[in-house]
Amino acid sequence: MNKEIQVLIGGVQGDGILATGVYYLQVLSRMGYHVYGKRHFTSRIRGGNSAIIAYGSVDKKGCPKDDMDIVMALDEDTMEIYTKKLRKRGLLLYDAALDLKVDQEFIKDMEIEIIPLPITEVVKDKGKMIMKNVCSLGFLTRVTVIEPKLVESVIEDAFKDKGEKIVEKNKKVLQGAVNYDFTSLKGVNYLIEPVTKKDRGPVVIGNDLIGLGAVMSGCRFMAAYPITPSSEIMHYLSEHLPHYGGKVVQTEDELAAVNMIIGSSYAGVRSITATSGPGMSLMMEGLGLAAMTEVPIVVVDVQRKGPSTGLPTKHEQSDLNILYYGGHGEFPRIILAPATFEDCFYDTVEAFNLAEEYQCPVIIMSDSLRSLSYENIEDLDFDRITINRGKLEMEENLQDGTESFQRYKNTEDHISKRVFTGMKNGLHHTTGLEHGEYGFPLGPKDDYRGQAVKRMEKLAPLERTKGIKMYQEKDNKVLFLGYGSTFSVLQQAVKKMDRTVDYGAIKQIKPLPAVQLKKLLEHYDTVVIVENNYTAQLRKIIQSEIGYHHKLDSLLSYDGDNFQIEEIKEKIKELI
Amino acid sequence: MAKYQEYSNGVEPTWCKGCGDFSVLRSLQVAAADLKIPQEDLMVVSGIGCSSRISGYMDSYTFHGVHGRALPIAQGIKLANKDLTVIAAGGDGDGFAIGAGHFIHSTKRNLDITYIVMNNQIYGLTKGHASPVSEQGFKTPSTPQGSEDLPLQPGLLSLSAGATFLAQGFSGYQEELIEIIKKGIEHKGFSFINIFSPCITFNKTNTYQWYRKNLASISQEGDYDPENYQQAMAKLLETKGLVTGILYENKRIEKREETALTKAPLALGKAEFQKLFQALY
Repeated sequence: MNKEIQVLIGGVQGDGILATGVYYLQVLSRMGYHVYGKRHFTSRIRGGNSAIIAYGSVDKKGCPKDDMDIVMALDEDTMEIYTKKLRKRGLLLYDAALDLKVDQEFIKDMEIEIIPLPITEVVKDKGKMIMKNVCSLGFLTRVTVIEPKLVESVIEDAFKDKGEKIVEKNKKVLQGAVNYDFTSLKGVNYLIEPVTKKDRGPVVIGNDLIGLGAVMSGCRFMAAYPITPSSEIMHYLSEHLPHYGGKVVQTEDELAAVNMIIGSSYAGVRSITATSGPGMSLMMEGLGLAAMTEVPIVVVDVQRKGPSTGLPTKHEQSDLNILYYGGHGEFPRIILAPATFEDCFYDTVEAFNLAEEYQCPVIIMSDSLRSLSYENIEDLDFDRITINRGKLEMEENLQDGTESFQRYKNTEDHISKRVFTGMKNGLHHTTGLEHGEYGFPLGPKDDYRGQAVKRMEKLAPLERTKGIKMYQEKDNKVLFLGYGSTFSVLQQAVKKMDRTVDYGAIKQIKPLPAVQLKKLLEHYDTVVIVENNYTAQLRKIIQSEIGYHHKLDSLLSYDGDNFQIEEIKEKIKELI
Repeated sequence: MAKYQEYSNGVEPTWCKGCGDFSVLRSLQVAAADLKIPQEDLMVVSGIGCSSRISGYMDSYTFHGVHGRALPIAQGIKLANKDLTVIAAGGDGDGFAIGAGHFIHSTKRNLDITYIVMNNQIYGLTKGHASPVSEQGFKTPSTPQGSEDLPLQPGLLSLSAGATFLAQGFSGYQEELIEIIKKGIEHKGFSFINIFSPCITFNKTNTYQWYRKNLASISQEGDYDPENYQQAMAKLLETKGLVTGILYENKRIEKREETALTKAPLALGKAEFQKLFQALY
């Protein structure tokens, strides 16, 4: 029996392909499987091919496998583009209303089984074309031998907000598919190994968990400009923040977004913005201002394929250089990269604490696949949520005097106390000009190095953290390190090998965990950085900051998609 | 009664002797004193440029941001804490060139803040470049043959963007200016105050004398109704924008719901967490 099933469902964008896939993931999750879902979409609203990969497995994966067990085609493009993704003896399902368009040689060589399904026929007979997604789900669950009652429960939940009538209409279509009498389906089934666990939690995307993390961190304000693939964070917070006295503002551009959260955070509110590469370019001046004025902000960059408008719906990890070095002048910033689905939540909580502790911008560097992929989430640990606001001065401790408050007082750890507007006796000036301890611009008699040292050295403690999470340390000679969504593919590749390498995820990108990194580079003969960009951005940063040029190696891909597990396996084989 | 001097931090401005901005600074301080705004509740945010240094001379909470972004910062602060009196200030380059998008959108967003533009029709800090409100033919080092562009009309721009309060003042008419700023602060919504504030060093055309000669005043017109939108538009067209007084105030528009985000509790309990987790289904 199979331990996993991976289905690709494709059709015309706007036809509800995504819904079919997500319902299917929900069904699998309720059956107790771990699920992973990935969209293939374009920037069009209607028209064009759209597909979703739905993956269910006994073990947790966090990424898709390289080939498909089933391709379900609701348009001819899907047959043409994706049939070749099928594994040997895979199954091609297609809507019988379409002409079959496949490479016969491939079908023969790979022993692909082809089954036409009367999807359009059943939809027309039992309901409306809009219910094609539910009908497809019905046939798919039938082929994969899933209890119809379970599928019905997912449909009931999906449509319950739309009223009883809609639920019934959709159930009728579903039953039409489940009960359709035809002989071609006899003997076709794809059984998955049963699991004892019954429910593995809601099916959501990484962006939802970033949103939830922000709410639980005490973030009460977001300003953002819509952009793929980050907008879902704004959607989540727009829905939930008002319940907790919070607010979301959709701004005129990303310049306004970042400056607005600088304002709100300066006034005392934990604040966030989220964007992608093009917005990040605009936010650079804001990052500099936040760093110069020591105002804590959290910025999420969900990377997509660049440069310029690039391919907005495709994946890449190529913003690292701008996040790491971008902006004029020199200023401190922290970059975290969630490697797993759960990290999206915990790293967001940490980001808010680090921002206020170190009074500087914190960037959550996500990527299209980390943020938009679907997974089920069983549990999140409430006890891991802490709120640390860093150094604050209490109003009652402020002295009435002639001098203004020393907002930028030099201290041993280079971090000074904050006060918020409205606090009596805390008056002070804040400026993006180089300034002294009182916040006023430097004059001709001042040392023009100003507070550069104060700002640049305050992050030093972070160089000593365990910012690299090691998942396997078996004293091998080769270490593979991934970050963001590349990590899960790396993990699956290593797990599929007999001979093995050690591996881990770089979670704290800036400051690099220099102490830990040096130790690792001393220990291993070769350290391979796995990343989705052309120029090996992280490897080069590590080389320039830590050294060990001869030991560092790269595995790169920039085709707009995740690594194939096989690609990483090849690289591992090459090195051991 | 609070004295206006209490709102001065004693720092000597870097402005040229005779700059129109001195009058604006003093007017703002007098307005704050007259309205008895507690210093700790007064927030002055500015951009970059000569006039934007104004925040550094006020004894209140002050934020001197980056070029063109005073308004987004000011709005963030107001959204965070509705109890503050928030003033955004800057020059015509800051507000109508690099920050023009924010000006339009702040107008339509209509948060209860006051935006003061010290308009001298030139870039003073970069030593005399043409500004978006410089007149056609205006000669500067960047426009040696004379500016080819039409000047932007801030008043019309503001009204067409949905302004709920529009006033114009002149550094040379300080009493009127103080009254206008007070009215602007009292207005419940976004109040835009365009102040003709001459640059005596670089702008040899739009001088004090020039403004005195060319500016009309609506405060001298008995039948002017500031609540009449069309009349305000007509007045701006008729005077080519060279008019002082409260041109427009919409008192009927519903006040935007205000937020006090700083008062919202940060930590949520386990029950609330579970509720949010369930909502993911």
